[in-house]
Amino acid sequence: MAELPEQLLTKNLRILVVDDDPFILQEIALHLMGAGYRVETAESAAQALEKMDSFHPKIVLTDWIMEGMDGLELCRQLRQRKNGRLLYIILLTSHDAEDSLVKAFNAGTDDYIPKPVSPRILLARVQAGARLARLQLEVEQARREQAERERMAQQIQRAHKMQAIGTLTGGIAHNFNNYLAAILGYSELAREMFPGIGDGQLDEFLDNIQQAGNEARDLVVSLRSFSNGGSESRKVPLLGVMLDDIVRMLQPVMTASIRLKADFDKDVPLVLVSQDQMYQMMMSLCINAREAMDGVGEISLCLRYVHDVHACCASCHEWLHDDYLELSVCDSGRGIDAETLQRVFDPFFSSKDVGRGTGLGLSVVHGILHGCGGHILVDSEVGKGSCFRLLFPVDPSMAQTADTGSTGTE
Amino acid sequence: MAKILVVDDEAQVRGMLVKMLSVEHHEVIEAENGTQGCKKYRKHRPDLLITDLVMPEKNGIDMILELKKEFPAIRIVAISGGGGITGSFDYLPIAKLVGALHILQKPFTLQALKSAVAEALEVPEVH
Repeated sequence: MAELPEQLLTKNLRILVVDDDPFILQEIALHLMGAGYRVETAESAAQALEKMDSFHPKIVLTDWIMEGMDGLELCRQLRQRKNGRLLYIILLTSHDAEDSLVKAFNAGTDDYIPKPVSPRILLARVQAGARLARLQLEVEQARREQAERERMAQQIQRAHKMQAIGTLTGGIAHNFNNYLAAILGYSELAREMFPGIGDGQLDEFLDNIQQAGNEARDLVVSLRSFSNGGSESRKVPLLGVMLDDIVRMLQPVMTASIRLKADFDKDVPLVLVSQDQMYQMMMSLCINAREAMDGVGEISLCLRYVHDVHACCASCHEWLHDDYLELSVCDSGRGIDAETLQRVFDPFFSSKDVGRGTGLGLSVVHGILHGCGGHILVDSEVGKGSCFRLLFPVDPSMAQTADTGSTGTE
Repeated sequence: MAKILVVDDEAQVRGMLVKMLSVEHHEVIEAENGTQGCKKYRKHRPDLLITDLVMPEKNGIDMILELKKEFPAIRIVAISGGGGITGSFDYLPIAKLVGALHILQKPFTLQALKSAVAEALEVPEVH
Protein backbone atom coordinates (compact mmCIF):
# COMPACT_ATOMS: atom_id res chain seq x y z
CA MET A 1 0.00 0.00 0.00
CA ALA A 2 1.26 3.47 -0.84
CA GLU A 3 2.43 5.59 2.10
CA LEU A 4 -0.10 8.27 2.94
CA PRO A 5 1.42 11.73 2.86
CA GLU A 6 1.76 12.89 6.46
CA GLN A 7 1.03 16.47 5.51
CA LEU A 8 -2.32 15.65 4.04
CA LEU A 9 -3.37 13.97 7.23
CA THR A 10 -2.34 16.29 10.01
CA LYS A 11 -1.49 19.67 8.57
CA ASN A 12 -4.17 19.69 5.92
CA LEU A 13 -6.89 17.70 7.63
CA ARG A 14 -10.18 19.50 7.08
CA ILE A 15 -12.21 20.52 10.07
CA LEU A 16 -15.60 22.19 10.00
CA VAL A 17 -16.38 24.21 13.13
CA VAL A 18 -20.02 25.06 13.88
CA ASP A 19 -21.09 27.57 16.52
CA ASP A 20 -23.68 30.33 16.50
CA ASP A 21 -21.44 32.49 18.68
CA PRO A 22 -19.11 34.21 16.21
CA PHE A 23 -16.51 34.99 18.88
CA ILE A 24 -16.16 31.40 20.08
CA LEU A 25 -16.24 30.25 16.46
CA GLN A 26 -13.37 32.51 15.52
CA GLU A 27 -11.33 31.63 18.58
CA ILE A 28 -11.58 27.88 17.98
CA ALA A 29 -10.87 28.31 14.28
CA LEU A 30 -7.73 30.33 15.03
CA HIS A 31 -6.41 27.70 17.45
CA LEU A 32 -6.95 24.93 14.93
CA MET A 33 -5.46 26.88 12.06
CA GLY A 34 -2.50 27.67 14.26
CA ALA A 35 -1.98 23.91 14.67
CA GLY A 36 -1.96 23.47 10.89
CA TYR A 37 -5.48 22.21 10.20
CA ARG A 38 -7.60 23.45 7.32
CA VAL A 39 -10.62 25.05 8.87
CA GLU A 40 -14.02 26.16 7.61
CA THR A 41 -16.63 27.76 9.85
CA ALA A 42 -20.44 27.74 9.92
CA GLU A 43 -22.66 29.88 12.13
CA SER A 44 -25.60 27.50 12.07
CA ALA A 45 -26.34 23.81 11.58
CA ALA A 46 -28.08 24.59 8.28
CA GLN A 47 -25.03 26.43 7.00
CA ALA A 48 -22.85 23.52 8.13
CA LEU A 49 -24.92 21.06 6.09
CA GLU A 50 -24.60 23.33 3.08
CA LYS A 51 -20.82 23.47 3.40
CA MET A 52 -20.40 19.70 3.68
CA ASP A 53 -20.51 19.12 -0.08
CA SER A 54 -17.97 21.75 -1.01
CA PHE A 55 -15.56 21.41 1.91
CA HIS A 56 -15.61 17.64 2.63
CA PRO A 57 -14.35 17.80 6.23
CA LYS A 58 -13.04 14.73 8.05
CA ILE A 59 -13.84 16.21 11.47
CA VAL A 60 -16.88 18.29 12.46
CA LEU A 61 -16.72 20.24 15.69
CA THR A 62 -20.14 21.56 16.66
CA ASP A 63 -21.75 23.43 19.52
CA TRP A 64 -24.76 21.71 21.09
CA ILE A 65 -27.09 24.58 21.85
CA MET A 66 -27.70 26.68 18.75
CA GLU A 67 -30.49 28.78 17.24
CA GLY A 68 -32.61 26.67 14.88
CA MET A 69 -31.24 23.17 14.49
CA ASP A 70 -29.17 22.13 17.52
CA GLY A 71 -25.90 20.19 17.56
CA LEU A 72 -27.53 16.84 18.28
CA GLU A 73 -29.89 17.10 15.32
CA LEU A 74 -26.97 18.20 13.12
CA CYS A 75 -25.12 15.13 14.34
CA ARG A 76 -28.01 12.83 13.39
CA GLN A 77 -28.38 14.42 9.96
CA LEU A 78 -24.66 14.22 9.26
CA ARG A 79 -24.65 10.51 10.08
CA GLN A 80 -27.43 9.91 7.58
CA ARG A 81 -25.53 11.51 4.73
CA LYS A 82 -23.55 9.48 2.21
CA ASN A 83 -20.25 8.61 3.92
CA GLY A 84 -21.57 10.34 7.04
CA ARG A 85 -20.54 7.35 9.15
CA LEU A 86 -16.91 8.14 8.28
CA LEU A 87 -17.03 11.62 9.90
CA TYR A 88 -15.48 12.23 13.29
CA ILE A 89 -17.88 14.45 15.24
CA ILE A 90 -16.96 16.35 18.38
CA LEU A 91 -19.61 18.12 20.40
CA LEU A 92 -18.89 21.31 22.36
CA THR A 93 -21.02 21.23 25.47
CA SER A 94 -21.57 22.62 28.88
CA HIS A 95 -24.00 19.75 29.64
CA ASP A 96 -21.65 17.35 31.28
CA ALA A 97 -24.33 15.47 33.25
CA GLU A 98 -24.25 11.72 32.61
CA ASP A 99 -27.68 11.60 30.92
CA SER A 100 -26.86 14.44 28.57
CA LEU A 101 -23.60 12.86 27.49
CA VAL A 102 -25.24 9.50 26.82
CA LYS A 103 -27.87 11.32 24.75
CA ALA A 104 -25.11 13.01 22.78
CA PHE A 105 -23.27 9.76 22.08
CA ASN A 106 -26.56 8.10 21.07
CA ALA A 107 -27.11 10.88 18.54
CA GLY A 108 -23.82 9.88 16.89
CA THR A 109 -21.21 12.00 18.55
CA ASP A 110 -17.72 10.52 18.78
CA ASP A 111 -16.34 12.75 21.52
CA TYR A 112 -17.13 15.94 23.44
CA ILE A 113 -15.23 18.96 24.68
CA PRO A 114 -16.56 20.70 27.77
CA LYS A 115 -17.23 24.40 27.64
CA PRO A 116 -15.58 26.78 28.24
CA VAL A 117 -13.11 25.34 25.79
CA SER A 118 -9.52 24.97 26.97
CA PRO A 119 -7.16 25.34 23.97
CA ARG A 120 -4.98 22.44 25.13
CA ILE A 121 -7.93 20.08 25.54
CA LEU A 122 -9.30 21.25 22.19
CA LEU A 123 -6.07 20.40 20.35
CA ALA A 124 -5.55 17.11 22.23
CA ARG A 125 -9.04 15.86 21.41
CA VAL A 126 -8.91 17.03 17.81
CA GLN A 127 -5.59 15.24 17.49
CA ALA A 128 -7.19 12.05 18.81
CA GLY A 129 -9.88 12.48 16.16
CA ALA A 130 -7.23 13.11 13.52
CA ARG A 131 -5.56 9.81 14.43
CA LEU A 132 -8.83 7.98 13.79
CA ALA A 133 -9.49 9.93 10.61
CA ARG A 134 -6.05 8.91 9.40
CA LEU A 135 -6.73 5.25 10.13
CA GLN A 136 -10.02 5.55 8.31
CA LEU A 137 -8.29 7.05 5.28
CA GLU A 138 -5.80 4.20 5.29
CA VAL A 139 -8.55 1.63 5.44
CA GLU A 140 -10.45 3.41 2.69
CA GLN A 141 -7.37 3.58 0.49
CA ALA A 142 -6.58 -0.09 1.11
CA ARG A 143 -10.14 -0.99 0.20
CA ARG A 144 -9.95 1.07 -3.00
CA GLU A 145 -6.65 -0.57 -3.93
CA GLN A 146 -8.07 -4.01 -3.26
CA ALA A 147 -11.14 -3.25 -5.36
CA GLU A 148 -8.89 -1.97 -8.15
CA ARG A 149 -6.75 -5.14 -7.99
CA GLU A 150 -9.87 -7.30 -8.12
CA ARG A 151 -11.24 -5.30 -11.04
CA MET A 152 -7.96 -5.67 -12.95
CA ALA A 153 -7.77 -9.40 -12.24
CA GLN A 154 -11.34 -9.82 -13.41
CA GLN A 155 -10.64 -7.81 -16.54
CA ILE A 156 -7.56 -9.87 -17.37
CA GLN A 157 -9.50 -13.06 -16.77
CA ARG A 158 -12.29 -11.96 -19.09
CA ALA A 159 -9.82 -10.81 -21.74
CA HIS A 160 -8.11 -14.20 -21.56
CA LYS A 161 -11.44 -15.92 -21.84
CA MET A 162 -12.30 -14.02 -25.03
CA GLN A 163 -8.87 -14.83 -26.47
CA ALA A 164 -9.21 -18.48 -25.57
CA ILE A 165 -12.66 -18.68 -27.13
CA GLY A 166 -11.27 -16.96 -30.23
CA THR A 167 -8.48 -19.51 -30.57
CA LEU A 168 -10.89 -22.35 -29.92
CA THR A 169 -13.46 -21.19 -32.47
CA GLY A 170 -10.69 -20.63 -35.05
CA GLY A 171 -9.52 -24.19 -34.53
CA ILE A 172 -13.03 -25.61 -34.64
CA ALA A 173 -13.75 -23.67 -37.82
CA HIS A 174 -10.63 -25.08 -39.49
CA ASN A 175 -11.46 -28.68 -38.64
CA PHE A 176 -15.12 -28.29 -39.48
CA ASN A 177 -14.26 -26.96 -42.90
CA ASN A 178 -12.26 -30.11 -43.57
CA TYR A 179 -15.17 -32.35 -42.57
CA LEU A 180 -17.60 -30.21 -44.53
CA ALA A 181 -15.38 -30.33 -47.59
CA ALA A 182 -15.61 -34.12 -47.51
CA ILE A 183 -19.35 -34.24 -46.71
CA LEU A 184 -20.37 -31.68 -49.33
CA GLY A 185 -17.84 -32.93 -51.87
CA TYR A 186 -18.87 -36.58 -51.68
CA SER A 187 -22.59 -35.79 -51.74
CA GLU A 188 -22.09 -33.61 -54.78
CA LEU A 189 -20.07 -36.36 -56.45
CA ALA A 190 -22.77 -38.89 -55.66
CA ARG A 191 -25.41 -36.67 -57.24
CA GLU A 192 -23.33 -36.21 -60.31
CA MET A 193 -22.28 -39.84 -60.72
CA PHE A 194 -25.54 -41.59 -59.79
CA PRO A 195 -28.44 -39.37 -60.82
CA GLY A 196 -32.04 -40.52 -60.60
CA ILE A 197 -31.43 -43.63 -58.47
CA GLY A 198 -34.44 -44.96 -56.51
CA ASP A 199 -36.98 -42.82 -58.36
CA GLY A 200 -35.00 -39.73 -57.53
CA GLN A 201 -35.08 -40.47 -53.80
CA LEU A 202 -31.29 -40.53 -53.58
CA ASP A 203 -31.19 -37.05 -55.15
CA GLU A 204 -33.63 -35.83 -52.53
CA PHE A 205 -31.55 -37.28 -49.70
CA LEU A 206 -28.40 -35.79 -51.14
CA ASP A 207 -30.16 -32.43 -51.44
CA ASN A 208 -30.90 -32.57 -47.73
CA ILE A 209 -27.30 -33.42 -46.92
CA GLN A 210 -26.13 -30.51 -49.03
CA GLN A 211 -28.61 -28.09 -47.48
CA ALA A 212 -27.55 -29.02 -43.95
CA GLY A 213 -23.92 -28.87 -45.03
CA ASN A 214 -24.38 -25.39 -46.44
CA GLU A 215 -26.01 -24.20 -43.22
CA ALA A 216 -23.08 -25.62 -41.28
CA ARG A 217 -20.72 -23.81 -43.64
CA ASP A 218 -22.47 -20.47 -42.96
CA LEU A 219 -22.18 -21.10 -39.24
CA VAL A 220 -18.47 -21.73 -39.59
CA VAL A 221 -18.13 -18.45 -41.51
CA SER A 222 -19.72 -16.66 -38.53
CA LEU A 223 -17.42 -18.47 -36.12
CA ARG A 224 -14.42 -17.39 -38.11
CA SER A 225 -15.67 -13.80 -38.14
CA PHE A 226 -15.62 -13.97 -34.36
CA SER A 227 -12.11 -15.36 -34.18
CA ASN A 228 -10.41 -13.21 -36.80
CA GLY A 229 -12.81 -10.46 -37.80
CA GLY A 230 -13.89 -12.21 -40.97
CA SER A 231 -12.73 -11.85 -44.52
CA GLU A 232 -11.52 -8.55 -45.82
CA SER A 233 -13.52 -6.87 -48.50
CA ARG A 234 -13.33 -3.51 -50.21
CA LYS A 235 -12.97 -0.62 -47.79
CA VAL A 236 -15.13 2.46 -47.99
CA PRO A 237 -15.26 5.56 -45.77
CA LEU A 238 -17.59 5.25 -42.79
CA LEU A 239 -19.99 8.07 -43.50
CA GLY A 240 -23.63 8.99 -43.09
CA VAL A 241 -24.42 8.31 -46.75
CA MET A 242 -23.16 4.75 -46.48
CA LEU A 243 -25.10 4.27 -43.26
CA ASP A 244 -28.24 5.68 -44.90
CA ASP A 245 -27.97 2.85 -47.44
CA ILE A 246 -27.64 0.33 -44.65
CA VAL A 247 -30.63 1.79 -42.82
CA ARG A 248 -32.69 1.37 -46.00
CA MET A 249 -31.59 -2.26 -46.18
CA LEU A 250 -32.54 -2.76 -42.53
CA GLN A 251 -36.03 -1.34 -42.93
CA PRO A 252 -37.59 -4.60 -44.17
CA VAL A 253 -36.52 -6.51 -41.06
CA MET A 254 -38.12 -3.92 -38.79
CA THR A 255 -41.77 -4.04 -37.88
CA ALA A 256 -44.07 -1.12 -38.69
CA SER A 257 -44.14 -0.12 -35.03
CA ILE A 258 -40.38 0.32 -34.81
CA ARG A 259 -39.02 3.72 -35.67
CA LEU A 260 -35.47 3.89 -36.99
CA LYS A 261 -33.99 7.27 -36.17
CA ALA A 262 -30.67 8.22 -37.72
CA ASP A 263 -28.44 11.09 -36.68
CA PHE A 264 -25.16 11.02 -38.57
CA ASP A 265 -22.64 13.81 -38.06
CA LYS A 266 -21.27 15.06 -41.36
CA ASP A 267 -18.04 16.36 -39.94
CA VAL A 268 -16.29 13.13 -38.95
CA PRO A 269 -12.72 11.93 -39.44
CA LEU A 270 -12.04 9.49 -42.23
CA VAL A 271 -12.30 5.85 -41.17
CA LEU A 272 -12.27 3.05 -43.73
CA VAL A 273 -14.50 0.05 -43.16
CA SER A 274 -15.84 -2.88 -45.11
CA GLN A 275 -19.41 -2.17 -46.17
CA ASP A 276 -20.34 -5.87 -45.90
CA GLN A 277 -19.03 -6.03 -42.36
CA MET A 278 -20.83 -2.81 -41.43
CA TYR A 279 -24.04 -4.26 -42.79
CA GLN A 280 -23.49 -7.49 -40.88
CA MET A 281 -22.85 -5.66 -37.60
CA MET A 282 -25.75 -3.24 -38.00
CA MET A 283 -28.07 -6.10 -38.91
CA SER A 284 -27.10 -8.07 -35.78
CA LEU A 285 -27.45 -5.05 -33.50
CA CYS A 286 -30.76 -3.87 -34.97
CA ILE A 287 -32.29 -7.35 -34.85
CA ASN A 288 -31.23 -7.65 -31.21
CA ALA A 289 -32.76 -4.21 -30.56
CA ARG A 290 -35.98 -5.27 -32.28
CA GLU A 291 -36.18 -8.40 -30.12
CA ALA A 292 -35.40 -6.42 -26.96
CA MET A 293 -38.34 -4.09 -27.67
CA ASP A 294 -40.77 -6.88 -28.57
CA GLY A 295 -41.33 -5.15 -31.87
CA VAL A 296 -42.40 -1.75 -30.55
CA GLY A 297 -40.21 1.28 -29.91
CA GLU A 298 -37.42 3.37 -31.29
CA ILE A 299 -33.93 2.47 -32.47
CA SER A 300 -31.63 5.43 -32.80
CA LEU A 301 -28.44 5.27 -34.77
CA CYS A 302 -25.86 7.95 -34.23
CA LEU A 303 -22.48 8.61 -35.82
CA ARG A 304 -20.12 11.07 -34.16
CA TYR A 305 -16.49 11.76 -33.36
CA VAL A 306 -15.78 11.20 -29.65
CA HIS A 307 -12.69 12.62 -28.02
CA ASP A 308 -10.71 11.11 -25.22
CA VAL A 309 -12.83 8.07 -24.45
CA HIS A 310 -12.04 6.75 -20.97
CA ALA A 311 -13.73 3.40 -20.61
CA CYS A 312 -13.26 -0.33 -20.58
CA CYS A 313 -14.13 -2.24 -23.75
CA ALA A 314 -17.20 -4.37 -23.03
CA SER A 315 -15.90 -7.40 -24.89
CA CYS A 316 -12.08 -7.48 -24.76
CA HIS A 317 -11.90 -5.49 -21.49
CA GLU A 318 -8.97 -3.35 -22.57
CA TRP A 319 -8.83 0.11 -21.01
CA LEU A 320 -9.33 2.75 -23.66
CA HIS A 321 -8.14 6.33 -23.67
CA ASP A 322 -8.21 7.59 -27.21
CA ASP A 323 -10.30 9.37 -29.81
CA TYR A 324 -12.74 7.26 -31.81
CA LEU A 325 -15.37 7.50 -34.46
CA GLU A 326 -18.44 6.21 -32.67
CA LEU A 327 -21.46 4.56 -34.23
CA SER A 328 -24.10 3.85 -31.62
CA VAL A 329 -27.21 1.72 -31.84
CA CYS A 330 -29.61 2.51 -28.99
CA ASP A 331 -32.97 0.95 -28.29
CA SER A 332 -35.80 1.61 -25.88
CA GLY A 333 -36.10 -2.08 -25.04
CA ARG A 334 -36.00 -4.09 -21.86
CA GLY A 335 -32.28 -3.58 -21.23
CA ILE A 336 -29.64 -6.07 -20.13
CA ASP A 337 -28.80 -6.88 -16.52
CA ALA A 338 -25.17 -6.73 -15.39
CA GLU A 339 -24.78 -10.50 -15.16
CA THR A 340 -26.04 -11.11 -18.69
CA LEU A 341 -23.91 -8.25 -19.97
CA GLN A 342 -20.79 -10.18 -18.94
CA ARG A 343 -21.69 -12.94 -21.37
CA VAL A 344 -23.36 -11.32 -24.37
CA PHE A 345 -20.24 -11.49 -26.54
CA ASP A 346 -19.59 -15.19 -25.85
CA PRO A 347 -20.24 -17.33 -28.91
CA PHE A 348 -23.51 -19.24 -28.69
CA PHE A 349 -24.71 -17.19 -25.72
CA SER A 350 -28.26 -16.17 -26.48
CA SER A 351 -30.94 -14.63 -24.34
CA LYS A 352 -33.46 -15.42 -27.05
CA ASP A 353 -35.54 -18.57 -27.02
CA VAL A 354 -33.81 -21.69 -28.27
CA GLY A 355 -34.16 -21.82 -32.03
CA ARG A 356 -34.33 -18.04 -32.41
CA GLY A 357 -31.00 -16.62 -33.37
CA THR A 358 -27.67 -18.38 -33.47
CA GLY A 359 -26.12 -16.67 -30.45
CA LEU A 360 -23.34 -15.51 -32.74
CA GLY A 361 -24.56 -12.01 -33.63
CA LEU A 362 -22.66 -10.08 -30.98
CA SER A 363 -19.69 -12.46 -31.20
CA VAL A 364 -19.37 -11.51 -34.84
CA VAL A 365 -19.67 -7.80 -33.96
CA HIS A 366 -16.85 -8.30 -31.45
CA GLY A 367 -14.72 -10.13 -34.03
CA ILE A 368 -15.21 -7.61 -36.82
CA LEU A 369 -14.62 -4.56 -34.61
CA HIS A 370 -11.49 -5.93 -32.99
CA GLY A 371 -10.29 -7.15 -36.38
CA CYS A 372 -10.09 -3.52 -37.47
CA GLY A 373 -8.62 -2.25 -34.18
CA GLY A 374 -11.94 -1.08 -32.78
CA HIS A 375 -13.75 -1.64 -29.51
CA ILE A 376 -17.27 -1.69 -28.15
CA LEU A 377 -18.99 -0.07 -25.19
CA VAL A 378 -22.40 -1.04 -23.86
CA ASP A 379 -24.63 1.16 -21.73
CA SER A 380 -27.71 -0.64 -20.58
CA GLU A 381 -30.34 -0.17 -17.94
CA VAL A 382 -32.96 -2.78 -17.18
CA GLY A 383 -36.37 -1.49 -18.24
CA LYS A 384 -34.97 1.53 -20.08
CA GLY A 385 -32.97 0.18 -22.99
CA SER A 386 -29.51 -0.56 -24.28
CA CYS A 387 -26.94 1.34 -26.24
CA PHE A 388 -24.18 -0.44 -28.17
CA ARG A 389 -21.40 1.96 -29.06
CA LEU A 390 -19.08 0.76 -31.80
CA LEU A 391 -15.74 2.55 -31.62
CA PHE A 392 -13.59 2.76 -34.74
CA PRO A 393 -9.96 3.81 -34.39
CA VAL A 394 -9.07 7.11 -35.98
CA ASP A 395 -5.75 7.21 -37.80
CA PRO A 396 -4.11 10.46 -36.60
CA SER A 397 -2.87 11.18 -40.13
CA MET A 398 -6.47 10.90 -41.33
CA ALA A 399 -7.89 12.99 -38.51
CA GLN A 400 -9.02 15.57 -41.04
CA THR A 401 -12.68 15.21 -41.81
CA ALA A 402 -13.88 12.84 -44.47
CA ASP A 403 -15.56 15.63 -46.42
CA THR A 404 -12.20 17.03 -47.38
CA GLY A 405 -10.17 13.86 -47.33
CA SER A 406 -12.24 11.32 -49.19
CA THR A 407 -10.23 11.30 -52.41
CA GLY A 408 -7.53 8.74 -52.99
CA THR A 409 -8.59 6.55 -50.11
CA GLU A 410 -9.21 3.29 -51.94
CA MET B 1 -6.54 -35.04 -68.94
CA ALA B 2 -3.61 -34.15 -66.76
CA LYS B 3 -1.33 -35.54 -64.08
CA ILE B 4 -2.24 -33.96 -60.75
CA LEU B 5 -0.59 -34.22 -57.32
CA VAL B 6 -2.98 -33.86 -54.39
CA VAL B 7 -1.47 -33.00 -50.98
CA ASP B 8 -3.72 -32.98 -47.90
CA ASP B 9 -3.23 -34.45 -44.44
CA GLU B 10 -6.96 -35.15 -44.09
CA ALA B 11 -7.56 -38.57 -45.65
CA GLN B 12 -11.26 -37.82 -46.16
CA VAL B 13 -10.61 -34.64 -48.08
CA ARG B 14 -7.75 -36.20 -50.03
CA GLY B 15 -9.91 -39.19 -50.96
CA MET B 16 -12.68 -36.90 -52.12
CA LEU B 17 -10.31 -34.79 -54.21
CA VAL B 18 -8.87 -37.91 -55.82
CA LYS B 19 -12.36 -39.10 -56.65
CA MET B 20 -13.47 -35.73 -58.04
CA LEU B 21 -10.39 -35.51 -60.24
CA SER B 22 -10.53 -39.16 -61.37
CA VAL B 23 -14.10 -38.66 -62.49
CA GLU B 24 -12.74 -35.90 -64.72
CA HIS B 25 -10.25 -38.49 -66.08
CA HIS B 26 -7.16 -36.98 -64.54
CA GLU B 27 -4.29 -39.11 -63.33
CA VAL B 28 -3.98 -38.44 -59.60
CA ILE B 29 -1.04 -38.89 -57.24
CA GLU B 30 -1.47 -38.44 -53.47
CA ALA B 31 0.71 -37.16 -50.67
CA GLU B 32 -0.21 -36.48 -47.05
CA ASN B 33 2.18 -33.69 -46.09
CA GLY B 34 4.64 -31.17 -47.51
CA THR B 35 7.70 -33.41 -47.23
CA GLN B 36 6.00 -36.24 -49.11
CA GLY B 37 4.54 -33.69 -51.54
CA CYS B 38 7.99 -32.35 -52.47
CA LYS B 39 9.36 -35.84 -53.04
CA LYS B 40 6.43 -36.94 -55.19
CA TYR B 41 6.46 -33.71 -57.20
CA ARG B 42 10.13 -34.23 -58.08
CA LYS B 43 9.53 -37.90 -58.92
CA HIS B 44 6.33 -37.57 -60.98
CA ARG B 45 6.59 -33.99 -62.30
CA PRO B 46 2.78 -33.53 -62.43
CA ASP B 47 1.04 -30.83 -64.49
CA LEU B 48 -0.64 -29.42 -61.42
CA LEU B 49 -0.23 -29.39 -57.64
CA ILE B 50 -3.34 -29.11 -55.47
CA THR B 51 -2.36 -28.61 -51.87
CA ASP B 52 -3.76 -27.99 -48.44
CA LEU B 53 -1.88 -25.39 -46.38
CA VAL B 54 -2.04 -26.34 -42.72
CA MET B 55 -0.34 -29.72 -42.44
CA PRO B 56 2.09 -31.47 -40.10
CA GLU B 57 5.76 -32.16 -40.97
CA LYS B 58 5.99 -29.54 -43.69
CA ASN B 59 3.14 -27.08 -44.27
CA GLY B 60 1.79 -26.11 -47.66
CA ILE B 61 3.38 -22.66 -47.75
CA ASP B 62 6.87 -24.06 -47.11
CA MET B 63 6.32 -26.73 -49.73
CA ILE B 64 5.19 -24.14 -52.29
CA LEU B 65 8.23 -21.97 -51.54
CA GLU B 66 10.59 -24.92 -51.91
CA LEU B 67 9.07 -26.24 -55.13
CA LYS B 68 8.70 -22.77 -56.62
CA LYS B 69 12.48 -22.32 -56.29
CA GLU B 70 13.17 -25.57 -58.15
CA PHE B 71 10.29 -25.33 -60.61
CA PRO B 72 9.48 -21.64 -61.20
CA ALA B 73 6.67 -22.46 -63.63
CA ILE B 74 4.89 -24.84 -61.23
CA ARG B 75 1.08 -24.63 -61.35
CA ILE B 76 -0.53 -24.59 -57.94
CA VAL B 77 -4.08 -24.54 -56.58
CA ALA B 78 -4.14 -23.99 -52.80
CA ILE B 79 -7.03 -25.14 -50.62
CA SER B 80 -7.57 -24.49 -46.92
CA GLY B 81 -10.16 -24.64 -44.19
CA GLY B 82 -8.85 -21.25 -43.12
CA GLY B 83 -6.81 -20.76 -40.00
CA GLY B 84 -4.58 -23.20 -38.22
CA ILE B 85 -5.48 -26.10 -36.00
CA THR B 86 -5.55 -23.79 -33.00
CA GLY B 87 -5.46 -20.35 -34.56
CA SER B 88 -7.48 -18.05 -36.68
CA PHE B 89 -4.81 -16.93 -39.11
CA ASP B 90 -5.78 -17.10 -42.78
CA TYR B 91 -3.09 -18.71 -44.96
CA LEU B 92 -4.91 -18.61 -48.30
CA PRO B 93 -3.92 -15.03 -49.23
CA ILE B 94 -0.32 -15.94 -48.41
CA ALA B 95 -0.47 -18.95 -50.71
CA LYS B 96 -1.61 -16.60 -53.48
CA LEU B 97 1.26 -14.27 -52.65
CA VAL B 98 3.87 -17.00 -52.94
CA GLY B 99 2.60 -18.27 -56.26
CA ALA B 100 -0.66 -20.25 -56.11
CA LEU B 101 -2.68 -19.58 -59.28
CA HIS B 102 -5.97 -20.22 -57.47
CA ILE B 103 -7.07 -20.48 -53.89
CA LEU B 104 -10.13 -22.36 -52.71
CA GLN B 105 -11.72 -22.03 -49.30
CA LYS B 106 -12.95 -25.36 -47.91
CA PRO B 107 -15.67 -26.48 -48.30
CA PHE B 108 -15.78 -25.80 -52.03
CA THR B 109 -18.16 -27.01 -54.72
CA LEU B 110 -17.28 -29.54 -57.37
CA GLN B 111 -17.80 -26.80 -59.94
CA ALA B 112 -15.37 -24.44 -58.20
CA LEU B 113 -12.71 -27.14 -58.14
CA LYS B 114 -13.30 -28.04 -61.80
CA SER B 115 -12.94 -24.45 -62.97
CA ALA B 116 -9.89 -23.78 -60.78
CA VAL B 117 -8.20 -26.90 -62.20
CA ALA B 118 -9.16 -26.06 -65.78
CA GLU B 119 -7.97 -22.46 -65.49
CA ALA B 120 -4.71 -23.45 -63.83
CA LEU B 121 -3.98 -26.02 -66.53
CA GLU B 122 -4.54 -23.39 -69.21
CA VAL B 123 -1.62 -21.37 -67.86
CA PRO B 124 1.31 -22.20 -70.13
CA GLU B 125 4.20 -23.99 -68.50
CA VAL B 126 7.21 -21.86 -69.39
CA HIS B 127 10.62 -23.40 -68.84
